[in-house]
Amino acid sequence: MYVPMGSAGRSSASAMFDPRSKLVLTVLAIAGVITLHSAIELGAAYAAIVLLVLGIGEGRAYLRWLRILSVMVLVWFAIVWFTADTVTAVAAALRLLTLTSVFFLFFAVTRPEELADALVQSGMPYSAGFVVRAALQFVPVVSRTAGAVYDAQRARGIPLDRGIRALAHYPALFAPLLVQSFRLADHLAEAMESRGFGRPGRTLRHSYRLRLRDWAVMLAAVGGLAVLVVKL
Amino acid sequence: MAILSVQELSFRYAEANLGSSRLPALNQVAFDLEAGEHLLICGGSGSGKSTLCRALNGLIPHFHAGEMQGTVVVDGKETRSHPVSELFASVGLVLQQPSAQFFSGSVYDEIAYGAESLGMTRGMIEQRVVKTAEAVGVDGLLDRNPHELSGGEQHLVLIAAVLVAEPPVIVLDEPYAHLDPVGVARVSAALREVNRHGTTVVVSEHRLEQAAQDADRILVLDQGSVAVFGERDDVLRLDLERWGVVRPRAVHAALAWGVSPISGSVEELFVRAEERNGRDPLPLIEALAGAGARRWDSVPVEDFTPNEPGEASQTGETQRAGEAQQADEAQEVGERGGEPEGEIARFERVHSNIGRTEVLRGLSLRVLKGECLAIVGANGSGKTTAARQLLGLLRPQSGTVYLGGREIAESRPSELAREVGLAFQNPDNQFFRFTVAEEVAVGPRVLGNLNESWLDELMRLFGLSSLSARSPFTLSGGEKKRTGFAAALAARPELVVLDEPTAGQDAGFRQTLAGMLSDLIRRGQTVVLITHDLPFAEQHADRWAVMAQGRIIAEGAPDEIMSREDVMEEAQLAPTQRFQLTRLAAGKAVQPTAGADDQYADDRSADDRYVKLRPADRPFRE
Repeated sequence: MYVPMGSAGRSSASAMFDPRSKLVLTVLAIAGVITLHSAIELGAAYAAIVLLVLGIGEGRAYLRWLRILSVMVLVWFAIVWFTADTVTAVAAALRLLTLTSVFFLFFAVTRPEELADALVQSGMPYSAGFVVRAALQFVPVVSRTAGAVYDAQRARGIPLDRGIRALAHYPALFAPLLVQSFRLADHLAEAMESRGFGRPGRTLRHSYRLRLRDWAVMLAAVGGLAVLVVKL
Repeated sequence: MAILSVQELSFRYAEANLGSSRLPALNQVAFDLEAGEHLLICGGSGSGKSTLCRALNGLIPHFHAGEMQGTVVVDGKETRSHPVSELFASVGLVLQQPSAQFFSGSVYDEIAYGAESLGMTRGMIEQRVVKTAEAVGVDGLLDRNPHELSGGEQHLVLIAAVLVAEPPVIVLDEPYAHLDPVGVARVSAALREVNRHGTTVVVSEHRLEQAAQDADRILVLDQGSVAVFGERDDVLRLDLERWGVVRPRAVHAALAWGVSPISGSVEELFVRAEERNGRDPLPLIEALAGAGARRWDSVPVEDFTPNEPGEASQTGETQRAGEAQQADEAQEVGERGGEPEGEIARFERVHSNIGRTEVLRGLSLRVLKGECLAIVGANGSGKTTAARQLLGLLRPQSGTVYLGGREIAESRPSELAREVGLAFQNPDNQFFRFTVAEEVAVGPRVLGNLNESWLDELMRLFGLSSLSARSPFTLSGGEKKRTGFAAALAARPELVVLDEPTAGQDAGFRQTLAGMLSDLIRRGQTVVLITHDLPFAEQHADRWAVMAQGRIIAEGAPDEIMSREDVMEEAQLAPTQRFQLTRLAAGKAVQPTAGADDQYADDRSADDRYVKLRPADRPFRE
């Protein structure tokens, strides 16, 4: 008999909580980060998220992801620094870093299939739930395509890696990516249709139930957010 | 009653793409298949193969808008009156580009999706997934992410994902197009197994070496119409080139030897030829093999009529073809102005990672000025990664890459693009201009070395002059490839690298590309072909560098490489049928082709699968 190995390589944190409670926690965490203002508070929140990421053993993946994100954070820092001051810029950069890290953490412990199935079980129409699942699975495919387009254009001498000047050449990056993404989406839709998408009477293989620990952790998070809001 | 019946099927796409033809994609197509048959659909690019595949499972007309006439009935269901989601239990379809067909995070979930669609109980789903995965040979991959698998494995997972519904018919659109010999062998073996258990298999494919061996019947499409449909051997006896289909060399040999059935691996056909009393296959092998290692395709099959006992071993026409061949080659060498000299690029103990995976593991290789070098190897051996190093698209973790005698070091790709032109496998990744002419000129414009007369020459050389005002997005697959090649050469680089130039392309394109390559090489252009298409590589490359596990494991002339069984095995490559014939002619043992040996594994012992022929072993020679 086949025994699935948990969540396809992800930590056991994936199975500890219901996907819906993880989604609620994520939303509350985002709300919490938005209420914070000072760089110190945001730094503390960011540190907490990083500790959680390390705790679930996703440190390496996080570092790789951080490398890609760092450009966006720096650009954001520069924009705020130009329009305001250094302290505000540091806080803005930390807020962006923390918010995106919350999403990283969520997707590190939640598989798109789990999330979609749990939402469908809560009453969301299957087609809408599947869109969530397919869209999330589509991200790495588009990301790989973007890499291939980037290489193909640089191989022709288009300077996409040279700071501000590269911006002028971004149509060379986005136009093929857009066309390819539409094509990929078309293929994905064909594949879905060909494997019974939309057929009535589908079986949901996993059943999800909000357990005591899910309620407890959601309640704690709501309490924490309330304290933050009142205090601030 | 036929399990699949297509009657007077015509289809015209509704969308009127700029420059696209308004001719019907399918025109009066009609054929029937009985349960358990294995059909091969072939034809040139644009002949309607993919459209027909989509019509068989109802994607046409339900998913693609257009005018449809005629009927398709699968498993008693007329596709027009049943939605695709209902038809999928009767006919499974695996499309091209497997990575775009996954929507689950694990192979298990991917396969289970079809069973979930059928509303099975959870227990049944698990049973069905495990059973299907075992049948297709992916039971060891169930926890893997499908996006992280090799091309062959991805195709196998998709086959399992449609077979989980146990449809009586399975249709695959070009499953071998981008696979190396090992991938082809695995997918082919899985399809034979599925077919053996009674599933009707329909495969649309350009590459016939393996597909023709597996099929019972063949349907050739030409401009949307059925050119010919019949039993495999009957169809293979016809001159299919007029419809853009090149028969495998083994079929040519079988026709020459007069054996039946005419499909199979070279060694199997040879044994059949031997078993025919009074027929001596050797002279014809020599004729076929000696007709020219580099220009096999130019020798018409009609020259090789089966010999009767005692007949001359080589017909006058064959001899003339061989002589003309030698003269052509001599002229070509003369025009090229001698042997390659000097070095244009060099890799020295290069190690390179992609993510956490070490892809290049001590790569050392020299590329000489004026040569046509083929870097050959299985998928994932590091060939494309090596090419990316030449342009600085990827930096080595250790080791050095030299270009024109100087270290690339920190040179930017935009600087290196003046010296190296790289045409990637998928030209769609680069198109963003409104016309072909603008697209080709992008590189030189950015690099500031635009030369209009050179661009005109390139457009002529690649047959793009008449397409210059067309949008690159509306071109056919072959035209897109040609545009990509022209763009790679537009800045007049000293070295041009073509990454899998023949992948997914039909015989017509290969022939056109062959002419263009010969032209380029004659002009002294240094060309590096990156490919696992060994028949193409042996035809055009002076030298092969074999890659396996991120390093070069052998370098040399094509025949020298293919004669080294240890190298071919480590590189997971199969010798070409031309080479196998040459070896047989020389009376040497032939190693089984990667794709063919598994086929008879059940019937024969491992030793029997090797045909060991020495002159003394041939009773009819005495």
